[in-house]
Amino acid sequence: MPSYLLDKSVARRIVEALYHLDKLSSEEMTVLNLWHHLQVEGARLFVPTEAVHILQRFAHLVEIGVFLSTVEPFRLGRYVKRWARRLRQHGFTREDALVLALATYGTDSTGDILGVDALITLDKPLLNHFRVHQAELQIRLLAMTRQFSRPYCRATLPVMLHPDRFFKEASSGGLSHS
Amino acid sequence: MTIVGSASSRHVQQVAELVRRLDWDEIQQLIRLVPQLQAGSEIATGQPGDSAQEIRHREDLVRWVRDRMAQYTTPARPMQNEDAFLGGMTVEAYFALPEAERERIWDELYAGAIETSQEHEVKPDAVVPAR
Repeated sequence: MPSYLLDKSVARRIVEALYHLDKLSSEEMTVLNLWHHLQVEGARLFVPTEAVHILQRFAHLVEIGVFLSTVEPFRLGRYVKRWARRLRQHGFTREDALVLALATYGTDSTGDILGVDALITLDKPLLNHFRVHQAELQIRLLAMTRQFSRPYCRATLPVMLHPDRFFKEASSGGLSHS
Repeated sequence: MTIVGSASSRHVQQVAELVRRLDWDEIQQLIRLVPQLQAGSEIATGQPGDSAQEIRHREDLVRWVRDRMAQYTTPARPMQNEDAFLGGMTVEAYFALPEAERERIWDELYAGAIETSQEHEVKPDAVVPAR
């Protein structure tokens, strides 16, 4: 079952779109389309635990409750913070480093998954920065994971996608689990 | 919407400043008075030039979302303007904010929450994405 981490920018846009379905912007259409598609596909949809906590205070509102009912919190796994510190040395902002590290070393509520197939974000500067530095990040991650025991030694960089590109990349067949 | 290109004239900047103060309903009134504005609008519902297929897809998607919300059985009710919402604001005040300001509120809340987050152990046989 494929797994996706929606960063907080995507979570925010979905929630906002649910509030005004009769006047959607094109970006909101895109994220709703993605949200719909991933549910139909049966994918596991994750959102950073911290974003879930922010929204849970408002779960009595249908728009928030419905969104939360479709996602699972993604928690910091061991080494998220260490990998985030390494990522900052490659020019990522603190927040970007954390979300990318979460997509690499994060886990579900039972610790049965390490990282996600893809991180989906609307943050174009983050997407560009990742694309430019991806090769060196692979090397850096490999050097770090060599020291670790299972499962951490098997961590891999996630695919990072803008919702606009999601359907194209997913249809190329590159997203799967072992 | 980002306008890329040479610096805007003073008149355009003045108009832009006025438009920024309008709420969504007022912007829709403005678009009705000045139809040329519609061409560059980001509003996805009913854009001129959409194909019948695009319109049908949009309607299907919105119908699916509405059904999903109707099926939500946990005691909950639709958001109202006066409901308390993020950033200590009402729903109405939140959605009246510009995009950048709404993003800032999320950033602030998120950064505060993640500061105190603890790491968790992952099972040795955990599923790992294949590359």
